[in-house]
Amino acid sequence: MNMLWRSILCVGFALAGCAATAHAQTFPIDDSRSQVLGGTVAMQWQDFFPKRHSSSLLIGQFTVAVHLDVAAWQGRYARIYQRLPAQPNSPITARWQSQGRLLSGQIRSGERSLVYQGTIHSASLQDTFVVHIEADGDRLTREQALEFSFEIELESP
Amino acid sequence: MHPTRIAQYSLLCSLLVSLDAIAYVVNIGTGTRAVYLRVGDGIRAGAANYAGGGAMATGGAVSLAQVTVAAAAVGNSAEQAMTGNGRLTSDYDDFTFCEAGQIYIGGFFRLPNTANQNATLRVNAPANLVNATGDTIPISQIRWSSSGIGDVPPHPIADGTFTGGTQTLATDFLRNTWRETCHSFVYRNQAIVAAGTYNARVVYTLATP
Repeated sequence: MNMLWRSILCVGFALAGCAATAHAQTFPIDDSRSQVLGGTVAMQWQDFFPKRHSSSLLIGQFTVAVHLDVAAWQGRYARIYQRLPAQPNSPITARWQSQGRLLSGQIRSGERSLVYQGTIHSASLQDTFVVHIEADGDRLTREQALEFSFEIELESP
Repeated sequence: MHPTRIAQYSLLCSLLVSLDAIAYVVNIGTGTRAVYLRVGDGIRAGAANYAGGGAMATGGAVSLAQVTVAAAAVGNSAEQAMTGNGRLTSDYDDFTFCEAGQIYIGGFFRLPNTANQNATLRVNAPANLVNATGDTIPISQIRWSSSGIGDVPPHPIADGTFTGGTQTLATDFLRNTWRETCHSFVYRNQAIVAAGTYNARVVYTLATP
């Protein structure tokens, strides 16, 4: 057996090992086929006219077509979460409305929120999220990249 | 270590790194900058106030503060209250913020910034009020006091007197905060001057960082 085939077999063993030892563990989900519609989100002052005491809430909205590759976990009972990493410059709150395949919800940066709970019956989960963003305009001083990710927790048998 | 074992570890590591990097990325921009100042009457677009979703507009008549001094009182140093003709309500919420005869001054600026940066309010005044025949009264004969209905000191603009030229009225128009006050103008009446109507125009400027 040459080195290439040995390497491929090793990857196969590694994946099988992941599936076999998944109890109470969290795995990232491949959502590389998700697509954000539109470019940079133009944040607007919630109240363009500030109140007599400082008011600086910024709001924005975007739409994302979510495509989660869950083929590796078909037939398993699982919870899927959307996660937004902590934002060092400005705390962010995201609220999204789904079309029903996944759950609507909200997260603050540094947290995660449930988007699916149940048995996985298909190789992929797809939905469209309309996401509303809130940020503190006193702290959001430059363009910022928000990296939303998904992770899966498998129910212990 | 066996060469095959080395290959196995390196492949596994690269697989995990690849999965960790998965995410959809959204870039969000900052808030827009804006600056607003109303002195005297001013106008706005539509009937709704700003708290009710109204929109700003530029324009309106130049407000006038005036007083007529009786001949017997000219130059006797008895101060004469001047009467302004601008609107008395705040465009923020239509609250009647000024007393009758006062001149409204209010504004804000929007700036996405972590520093407590302030805008600066200045006024530029000519050296004198002038009548039709060229007689003058020093602009320093006019002073003002600040107040606002329901407001308590310190007011956004301190009491003062025109000095002629550019003078700074406030350096603490904090970003993202509405600031407003009302001015009562007073003619100090400290000199005997020729009869006539004396005019001067002062211009207020709100400068942002």
